[in-house]
This record gives sequence, C-alpha cells and structure tokens, in this order.
Amino acid sequence: MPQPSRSSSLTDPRLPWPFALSGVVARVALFFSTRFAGGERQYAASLVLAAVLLPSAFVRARLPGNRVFVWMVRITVWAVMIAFGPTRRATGFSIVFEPDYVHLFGALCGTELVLRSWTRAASPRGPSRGEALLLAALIFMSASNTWTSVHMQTLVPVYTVLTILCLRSFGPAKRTTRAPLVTLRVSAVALAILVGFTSVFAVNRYEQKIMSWAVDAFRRERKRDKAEIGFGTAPPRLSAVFNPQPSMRRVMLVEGTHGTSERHMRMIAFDTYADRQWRPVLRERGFAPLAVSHQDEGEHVRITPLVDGMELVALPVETLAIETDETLEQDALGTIRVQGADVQSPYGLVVATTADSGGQVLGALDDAHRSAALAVPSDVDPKVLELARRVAGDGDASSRVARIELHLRSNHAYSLRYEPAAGAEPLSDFILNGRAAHCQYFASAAVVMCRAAGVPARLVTGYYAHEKYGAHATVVRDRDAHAWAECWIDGKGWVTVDATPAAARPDQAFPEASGVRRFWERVQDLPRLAREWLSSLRPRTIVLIIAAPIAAVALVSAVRYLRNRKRQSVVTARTYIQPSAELQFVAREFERWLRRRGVPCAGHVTWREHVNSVAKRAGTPSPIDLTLVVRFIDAYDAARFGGVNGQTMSRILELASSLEG
Amino acid sequence: MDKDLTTLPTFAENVARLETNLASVIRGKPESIRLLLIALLSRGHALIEDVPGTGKTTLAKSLARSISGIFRRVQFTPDLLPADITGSSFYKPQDGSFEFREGPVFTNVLLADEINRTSPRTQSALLEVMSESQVTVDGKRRDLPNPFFVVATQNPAEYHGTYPLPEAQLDRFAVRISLGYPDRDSEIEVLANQRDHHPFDDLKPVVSCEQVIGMQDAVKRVRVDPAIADYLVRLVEFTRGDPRLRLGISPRGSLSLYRASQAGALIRGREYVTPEDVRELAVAVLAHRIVLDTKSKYAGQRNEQVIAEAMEKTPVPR
Repeated sequence: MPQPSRSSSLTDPRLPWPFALSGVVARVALFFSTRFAGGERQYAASLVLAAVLLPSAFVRARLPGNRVFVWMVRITVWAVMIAFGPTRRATGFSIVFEPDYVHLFGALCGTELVLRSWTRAASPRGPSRGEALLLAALIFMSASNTWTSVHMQTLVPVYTVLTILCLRSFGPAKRTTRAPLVTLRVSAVALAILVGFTSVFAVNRYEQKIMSWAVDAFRRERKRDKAEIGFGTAPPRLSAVFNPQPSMRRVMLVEGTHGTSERHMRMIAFDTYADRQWRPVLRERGFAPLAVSHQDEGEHVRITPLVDGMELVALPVETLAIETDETLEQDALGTIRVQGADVQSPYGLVVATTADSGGQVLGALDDAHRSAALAVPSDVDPKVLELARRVAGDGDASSRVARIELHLRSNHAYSLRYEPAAGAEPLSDFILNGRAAHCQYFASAAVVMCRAAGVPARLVTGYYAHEKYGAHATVVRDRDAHAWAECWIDGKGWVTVDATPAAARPDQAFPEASGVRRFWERVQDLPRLAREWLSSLRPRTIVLIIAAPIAAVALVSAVRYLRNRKRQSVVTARTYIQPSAELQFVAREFERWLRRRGVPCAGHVTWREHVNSVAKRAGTPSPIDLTLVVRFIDAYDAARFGGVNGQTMSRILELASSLEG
Repeated sequence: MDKDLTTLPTFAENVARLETNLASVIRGKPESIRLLLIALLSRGHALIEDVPGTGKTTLAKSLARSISGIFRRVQFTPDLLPADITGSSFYKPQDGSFEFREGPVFTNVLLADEINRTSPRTQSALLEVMSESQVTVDGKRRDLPNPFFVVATQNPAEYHGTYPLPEAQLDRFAVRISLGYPDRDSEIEVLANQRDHHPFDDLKPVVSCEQVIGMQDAVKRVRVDPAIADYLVRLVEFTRGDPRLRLGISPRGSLSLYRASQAGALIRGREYVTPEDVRELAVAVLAHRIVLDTKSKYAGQRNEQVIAEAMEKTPVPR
C-alpha cells in the first residue's frame, strides 16, 4: 500500500508551514547561540526543550489539546521561572535587550513550543489565530535570544516575515488556488531574506542610536524627578525656590519602626560653602570600601528602595550597622553608596535606640576634617559670627548647638520662596534680617552658626521620613526631601540638628497623600510582596506550594477520568452482542491502527463515516488510504452483519495486514 | 447468505428502472426518490412535505405511473367526508338491496394530495386503511388491492384552512420526505425539459404489481443482525426518555425503521443491514413521529436535531 508521506513530518501537515518553519528557525537559533554566543548555561534549558521538541514532530501520538494536563505543565514551568528565574540585576536598570529577560522568555517560549508540538492541533488547519499570535510573539522572543550572534541577526528578520506570512495563512482560504500560493511563498522567502539583510545592516549601523533612544524614552521621567529634588550628583544650591512641585512618588519604605516614626534619613553631606553652593559634588569625592560590622543591639530597620536610580544609601545618623549583601563604599563625609550600582535591593540597618550613642557607621572626625568642619565660609558677613557667638553663649557644645537651633526656629518664619535683597549675600541676609526661607537656608545657617560657635558642623540632605505605612513602617516620598545640619559633639559623635521650624518640615508643609493614591500603592506593592515572600521561602516549601494545587487538579482529573471511563465503557460498542473472537480481535486492531494514525474513531459513528470524514478534511494529506480502508470495512461488515464464512474471514485478515503495510 | 442471491439481480434491475424513470421527471433529487422507493418496498407509506411547487404531487404521480397498477388521486378538501374515501353502500331500487361502491382507496397507489386540508375526521378514515390495508364499511371488512401504497403530500408552510395531521396518523407514514428546492443546474434542466410538454407524459410503467410484491417479499428476508436491532431499539429508547419530548417513538416506529433499513440495504445491493443503513434512514423515518414539548419547540429545537442527537449519544455496534 502507498504509505502516507512521512517526509514532511518535520513540518507536520497539521501545522501551517510557516508556523512550523518558524519553529525550526527558533530551534536553529537556539542551537547556534549556544555554540557561538557563549551563553551555555542560560541556553541549556532551551536546548533541552528543543531536543524534546524535535522528536515530537516525528511521533504521531500527541497530547490532547488544551487539556488540564497541558495547562498544568505550562503553569508549573512559568511558576518555576518566576520563582527561580533571573531577577533584576545588580548592574541596574537595563532594557530592550536585557539578556536575562530574553533568556527567560526564550525558555518560556521553548516550553510553549514543546507543548504545542506535543499537542494535537485543535482543527485540521492548525492552531487558532489567537494561539498563533501568542506563539509567534514567544517564538520571536526566543529567536531574539540570538541577538549577539551575527548569523542569527539574519535569521530573526526572516523569521519575523515568516510569522507575518503565517498569520496570513490563517485568514479565509477563499479562492486560493495552488499555483499563486507557491509563487507567493517563493517571493515571500526572497523578500524575507532581503528584509533580513537590510535590517541587519541598519541595526549594525545605528545600534548606538537605537539603544540610546530606547534608554532615553525609559529614563526621561526619572531624570526630571532627580533634578527637582535637588540632591544627588547636583550639589544643593541656595536657590530662590525649594521643591516647587512636590511629587508624591514613593522613594523608599522604612520598616521596623517601633518608637518614633519620624526619622532624618541622611543621604549626602557637604562641608564646604562658597558662592551660594555646598560642595564637594558627588563625582569629585573619593570613596573607600566600607567594612560592614555586625551589631545586634539596637533597633532593626529595613529599607526597601521603591524607585530606580537611587544612588546613595539612606540611613539615620544613629546607624550602628548596615546589613546587606552588596559591597558598600563610603566617602570622608559619611556618604554611602553601593559599589558600582544604584541601590536596588532592600537593606537592613541597626539603629541606636538612645540618643546618647552616636552612629558608628559614619565614623569619627579626624583632624583634617575637623578643620574643614569648623571653617566659617569667607563670604559670610562677619556680623553673622558675632550673632552666632552671642546666641550660643557659654556652656558645652550640646547646649551651644541647642541655643542656635532655638534661635533659628523662633526668629525665622518659613517660606518656600526666598528673594534675597539685591546685592546681599543670601545666607547672611537670611540670618541677620530674620527673613523667611526654606529648609536649605535653615540648615546652612545652622551649620555656619555652629561653626562660628566652635562646633564642627556640616550640611546634610536626605529625606524626612514621617508618613505611616501600616503599624511599623513609614513610607518616604519625593516631597519629603529635606536638608538639615549635623554637628559633631565630642563623646557622642555626629548628631542631627534640624533648625527648620516644625511647621516647615515636609510633614506639615505639604498635603498628605490621598486615600485613593495610598490604596493604589498598596495594590502596586502586591507583586513585590509576593516576590519577597517567595524568596523568603525554602525551596522545599516552594515545591510544595506548586505541587499541592497540581496534585489537587491531578486528583480531580483522575477521578473525572475514571468516572468518564466508566461511563464510556457503557457507551462503547462492547455492550452489543459481540461477534466471534476472531472478528473482535480484528476490530480492536483496526481501531488501534486508526489511533496510531492520529485519527481515532469516536464511538457514535461507524468506521465508514469516520474514514470518509477524515478523507474529506481539506488541506492536509490524508493519513489513511481511503480505498483500501473502505475495502476492509466492506469485508468486515459482511462478516459481522451478514454472517461469517471462512472465505470472508481470510479476506479480512489479508486486507488488515495490507493496511499495516 | 440466504437463497435470495438468485432474486437479487432482478431486484437491482427493477430498482434501477424505477429510479431512472422517476429521475427523468424529478431532477436532482435522487435521495428523495430513493426514500420514496424505500417506503414502497418496506410496505410503508410516504408523506411528502414541502412548500408548494417543489414537485411533491409530480413525484407521487410519477411513482404511481411507474407501477403498472391502479392509481387514484384524492384531492383533500375541507368538505371531504370519510365515505368519500372509503366508499359507501347505495340503495338499489331495482331489487331493494344495497350495493357497495368502492371509494378511491381501492387502488394500488393512492395519492392523498394536500392531506392536511381536510378535517381530522376524514383524515382518520385513512387510519385503518394505512395500517391494515383494509376497509370496514357497514360492518363488512373489505381487503384493499395488493400492493397498496399511500403517498400523501402536505404543505407545512401554510396554516389557513389546514388541520395538522394527528400523531396517530403521522405515525402511520413510514417516511417523511422533504423535497426542497432543486439546485441551479437541476432547475435549468427542469425548465428545458418542460419546453414543449411535461416529461411526466412520457412515463411508462416499468414494473408490475407482482414484481413490486416480489420485491417487498425480498426486503423482508434481508438479514438484520441482533446487534443492529439492538442499536435501532437504543435509538428509539433514547427518544422515549428524552425530557424535551412530549411523545417518543412507538414500536411501530422502530418496526418502520427496521423494515426501511432492510429495504435500504437491499437497494444498495446488500443482503444484510449495516449500522449505516439505520443511521441514514433514522431521520427520515423517525423525525416526524416525535412531538416536542412546547418549551423546547419555542426554544428552537427541531425534531431532526433530537434524532441526530440520539445518534450522537448512542454507540454504534462494530
């Protein structure tokens, strides 16, 4: 008998050809990328998937489409990927072709391909349009795994065009004759190659530009925000306006607050004032590795950054120790950052509970820096020094600082706008004339006056954390940006001196976040919380969590299957008066044969009707030889329903063996 | 195999002749013609149902003419009385006796045209006629000629002045045939054929009454495997338990399907019935016998669907 053609098994007749071809392209891409792109470990999973995929194209027995089982595999793979897959990298916020994301998608789509190829197509024309779209996207992602390899850069665009063509073949098949379709396909492949080379050329030529466009598009917002806040790389300048449009964006979450919820979260300190500006700027500073000491006594606080691009570690001045896996570095002014990256992962702090013990993290004040911290800026009016000494009076450093703080608080009003008198030095003008200004002036004035009174001092910017978030946490927003002074008290260390009047602090000066916003933020937090929760679990627990619902579903489907089988056994031909054992055997073998061919016969139609409908299915080569099968069915029926005789029986067996080929 | 083998060639020949004869008049409807022949050969009666002008009456007339027997036609009208069909006794003044004058049912082929236009009273006169091939008038039983075959036509689209056939009456029809419009080519052919005269006028009888009786007897001897009978009964049982139906299929219905399947098998040249024979005829034989309850009827269910569903839910013997 003529065997059904198997030469096209790789591009299974039940899948539209571009679809199958794009699958092959993706597989080839995965293979080559493993060989040449050097990402062995990351691609290993994809390769295994591809290895499972290939034989599946040759095997006829398929998984039934869209069954619970298929979905279970799908969900498991996704869950594993999410739980153990690559997360945000220490190298920071990277987009477009971030390798790890692409790997993740590659593995996902590899899984999807495998599932798809082991799944029987729902209709003779292949998967539905929606599935095809989804899969095409996934395959594309998988193929773009190969972006680094020159070979693959050609394949990806080819693949893209094929995908588009594949979607075309899902459209209505009216009036399509064979000949134009072949021309179309040939010209499509030619076009694909042309488009492939053109785009490879274009991408190679303009790669830098494309990347920078994309980066800009994603980063623009963040840059703007940073500029507004006025800290970070830009040194604080005594400007006319402070925080003119307070943003409600959340910067970080401070958890583990048991006593006071109000904290000065310092980020960067400055010790040199000249020409309205505090220095040195961040990029001019020298950083040295910070030894992480361990400390158990104290309040444990956890800081979770909520924005991208936080360059410095925020911490209260009383911090005793920092708990983090990252490598930290510190400059002479106590500014701490993560080595070579933005602050992205949460870190823990141990904070002194009593005000007496100063922070150990910030280190001691050596002689070189003591003189800098005592230097009164030369452009400040000498009257300021007089005033400072008069206000501070005699007594120890703490009491002098306290008097200066009180003086500033009680003699100056608060205003977000400050217009200095013409020609005057703004800081001296503020101090001497009792002007109203914003926190940067109060902080600068406190620093200058403390220095004049003989207490080492420096200016600090950061955030004033105060907004409660649940019982034991505070949330810090952009609008909480603040500036204050730090003074060195011998025997105590650095202490926070916030001379800004209470009404002028961010908690009083700016409106509260609305209830709607807070609710929405809680919702936004859910994925992060889920992720944190997952990462806090032990692998065994995760496996259990994944396995439990799957086991439940498996149990339910097993029960359902058994019940169905019971019902089906009632609804099979077996309940009829059975023919001779010989005929029963032939019938069983024939049905098995149909199953092997991928066209099992349902119980409620006759064989003849079934094979006719199989033969009628348009667009696919029939897996059975109709004339031969019909001849067999004729002979079988004659024996089964017309009464057996020896001659018919031998004829049946002869026909049956010819079916087997 | 039975001894029928010797009669089989003649049977096939006769069927072929009848089919060709009918096909020369009714174009493009081989299935309907076959169903009509199955009704005739299984000793049943046929109900042809469709909108006006599709050739119902022509088909019935053509069949009657193809058999060289007596053919009578009754146009059912609202004022038709039972006696007008069965016949009645007349007083003979000469000798003071009563003489029975046979009605139109004393025929081989009776065409009951527009059967739903007469009152149920008159329709019921056909009950005995159709099931027992006899007439009882004035207490005296009279046998009808053999073969006796009723072809009734009705137009389901029209409701004015019609009386729907009672279920008991419907049950006595072996098959219900729906002709439907011909396809375009066949219709063009119909127009061309009737240019100067109706092809019906050229029809000649091709089989004799005796041959028909012989064929009917041959049908009875077609082998039905117990598994097939089982399958057939399961189909029927499905309709009896169906909550959507006010009335399921009677044993008369299963018997009709049994006979029709035999006829269908033999027409195909087989001396045994296969499940396909049953499945092919199930809708034509069974659909008109069931009665949907009002709710399902207005929910858009159709009798044919119920039968198709019965076939879908019943396993086929193999």
